[in-house]
Amino acid sequence: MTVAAILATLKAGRKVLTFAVVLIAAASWYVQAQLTAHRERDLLTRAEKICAATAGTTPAEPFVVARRGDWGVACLDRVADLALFRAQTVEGSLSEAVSAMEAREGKQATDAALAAAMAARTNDTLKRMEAADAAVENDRVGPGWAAAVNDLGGLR
Amino acid sequence: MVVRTVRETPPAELTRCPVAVDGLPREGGAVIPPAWRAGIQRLAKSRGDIANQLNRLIAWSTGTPCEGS
Repeated sequence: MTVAAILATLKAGRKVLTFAVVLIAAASWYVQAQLTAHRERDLLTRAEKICAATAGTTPAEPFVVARRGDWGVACLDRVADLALFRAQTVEGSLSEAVSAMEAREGKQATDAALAAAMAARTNDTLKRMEAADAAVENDRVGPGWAAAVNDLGGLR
Repeated sequence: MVVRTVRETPPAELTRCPVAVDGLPREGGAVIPPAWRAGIQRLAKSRGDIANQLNRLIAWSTGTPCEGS
């Protein structure tokens, strides 16, 4: 088959060839469009799930393209709110925990001081009690011994 | 994690400061054998220790120690 013969054949089937080319182009465009639409649906489904998970912005009706902007903005606001809330909660909890710890440490220091003062006083009254008891003769106790007992017990 | 400090105020009766009551008479005297004297001292010591502990607990709980503690 010569080149001329091939050209002649092509010329004869020009209409069919043109139709085939147009058909292929249309088919590939259609497939591309389908793929794009599929990807978009997939993305929208994910977005819906994300927004639904934030609760409160769950769309009452299925996603409507005309409302996409409004819905997206509302959802974004909600997510930002949640992020802010989380940050503030963590911060608030930390300061609350820190102040509780500080209060506790202050209390422990106060109590330690009080306990030390009490121990010193008890020690003092105990010594006086021992001295008063040692001074007792013939089991006869008097006002001094009684006063030591009263001091030991915190009595009047 | 959310932290909240819970402030629980015990009933006023539980944080009432121990009252110093009259002890042994401040005049006169008695003959008391050693074992009895030791017992009296133990009672007094125990009363004083408990009062101290209660005072500390009240100071811890209310933030203000009892008078004279």
